[in-house]
Amino acid sequence: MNKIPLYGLLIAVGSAIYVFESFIPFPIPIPGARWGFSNMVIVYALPFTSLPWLLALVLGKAIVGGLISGRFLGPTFLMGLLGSVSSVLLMYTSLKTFKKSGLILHSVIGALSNNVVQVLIGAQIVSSWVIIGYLPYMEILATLSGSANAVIAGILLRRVSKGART
Amino acid sequence: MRNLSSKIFSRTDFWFLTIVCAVLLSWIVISNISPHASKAVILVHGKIYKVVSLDKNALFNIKWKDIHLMTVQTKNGSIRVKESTCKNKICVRTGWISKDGQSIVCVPNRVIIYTKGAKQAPYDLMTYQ
Amino acid sequence: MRKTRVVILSIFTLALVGVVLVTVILKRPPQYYIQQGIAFGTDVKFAYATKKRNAKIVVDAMFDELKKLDNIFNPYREKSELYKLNHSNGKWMKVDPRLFNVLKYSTDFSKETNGEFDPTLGKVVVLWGFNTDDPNKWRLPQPSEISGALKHTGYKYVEFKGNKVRLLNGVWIDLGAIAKGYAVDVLLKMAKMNDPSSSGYVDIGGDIGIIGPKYGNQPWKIGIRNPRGTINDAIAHVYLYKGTIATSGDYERFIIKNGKRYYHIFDPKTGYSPNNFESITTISTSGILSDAFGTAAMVGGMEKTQKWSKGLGVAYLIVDEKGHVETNSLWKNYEEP
Repeated sequence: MNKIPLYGLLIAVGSAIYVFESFIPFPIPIPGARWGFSNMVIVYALPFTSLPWLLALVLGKAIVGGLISGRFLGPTFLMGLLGSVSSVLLMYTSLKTFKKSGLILHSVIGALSNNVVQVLIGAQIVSSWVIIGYLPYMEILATLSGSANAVIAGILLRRVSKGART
Repeated sequence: MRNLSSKIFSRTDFWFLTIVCAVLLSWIVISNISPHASKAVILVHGKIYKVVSLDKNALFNIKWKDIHLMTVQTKNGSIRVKESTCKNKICVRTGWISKDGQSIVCVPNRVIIYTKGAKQAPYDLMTYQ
Repeated sequence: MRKTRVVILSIFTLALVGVVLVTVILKRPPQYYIQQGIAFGTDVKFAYATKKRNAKIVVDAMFDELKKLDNIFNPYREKSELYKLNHSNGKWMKVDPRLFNVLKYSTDFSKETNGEFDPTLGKVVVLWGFNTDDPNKWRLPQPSEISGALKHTGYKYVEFKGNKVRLLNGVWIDLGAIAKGYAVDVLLKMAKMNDPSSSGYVDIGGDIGIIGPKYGNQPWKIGIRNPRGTINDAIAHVYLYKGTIATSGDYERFIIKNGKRYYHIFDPKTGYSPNNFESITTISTSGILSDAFGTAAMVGGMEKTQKWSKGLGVAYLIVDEKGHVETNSLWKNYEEP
């Protein structure tokens, strides 16, 4: 596959998940907080993609997802975008550093950092530090969703690579 | 495409997950030891709007520049947002909070409600003759 | 090759996290530069935070300014402007413009309160000994002495011409009721001129002026001293984002003779201290007004205080002679944060 159709497809799938996951109730009452299943496409692309393309993927997903869900350029949009950018950077670094580990570690690191940045920015928006109290709960959920993303993305990667080889 | 046979799970991942979960669980346990709060502080647009005692049962409205934002209820040492004009109603879904340091956040209305302990903070300054 | 790439990436990531942390830390509550000392004959405390990073310089300048003000307004310091004026034997004297303005303000305020406030009671204050900090010098004078001293009082004997002042009839000025409040105003102006968005407070012997809200958006919580309690015993609290607060009372400089309390504020008509309130705390936009109003109220009593406060927009809390607390409707604005 060429790069542009591939990443276009990934952005489309990611945005679809992004919209779909807002129907799954998120048990923590922080504005802008969500499961983050749409990051599955980033975890999927992580092993074979260069950093600029990963960032393009994140940006594309945020813009398309933001437009579809009507959050584009709102305060929670900014929270989400900065969160995903920092998480991609950390995931990429983790991929290059921890050679022996699997996708789960990279994915969970990404999800954890995503939430940390989101809460920090959220605290700025509402100008109060009290919402940091929610962080441990959010990180538990991030560990779960990050692991789930990694498992699904990993299985997909294996299937697709088998198909590509035959 | 290269590197497609990447691992999903390895020993490193196992230990990593274990440590992360341990840290998070202990964080949650520690933060839950906090005692029941006696007061709630309501911030609107970053400023203290009102401090309410949780001992009393009350129902009151929060307004900002004469625009109704939400209705807040206190009952039996707890506080909640009963009704809000915001779109997503996250603040309403938070439900009752009663422990020290808990909070309800409403970003669209820029309202934060957080609980505070029993001790009254001493004054910053004293005026005297 | 790979290693260098990893190193570069790690540095990049760390830098990003660093930038996020730094912006977060920069937006954190400002750190206050706090300095305490003795100046203006009283305990002084300043807290100041400014983005211009010159808090110490400004606070030092504020202390210097207080010293200068003391050299003008302290009538019991020889060589002070006011001392010279009090000893000018009724001659026209060109005085420092600041002294001129405060004198003008005082006499205007005397007119406004029909003489219940009077800055010309210097000789009465000295007679009782309340011009010193030394309790051994405080005494109950003979009635004849008091009526003698009263002859040399009266705000009408302060005359102004151009930038000159003269004191007739041998009156002595004592600005003890107003100088601290004026100093609060001067220092607030200094702090705000340096940085209009700066924050903190000035506290000159319990006369407090707010430079800006605590941490930029929170009120300062101020305790009102219980007039019959210990130093740290507050009878009430207020929350101030701005403005000034001052207290007048009967509990710092006083003597008790034959079961009766005499203190450093005097009724210009009798030369004795009034028995209306134990203390009054006032909040207004101006330190000099808060300070002067309190003294006038101690003399004028409840009814006049109510009337004046409506005209001048002063919030007050009164502890009356029985220890009951009374506040006006303006005060309610400050009771909750």
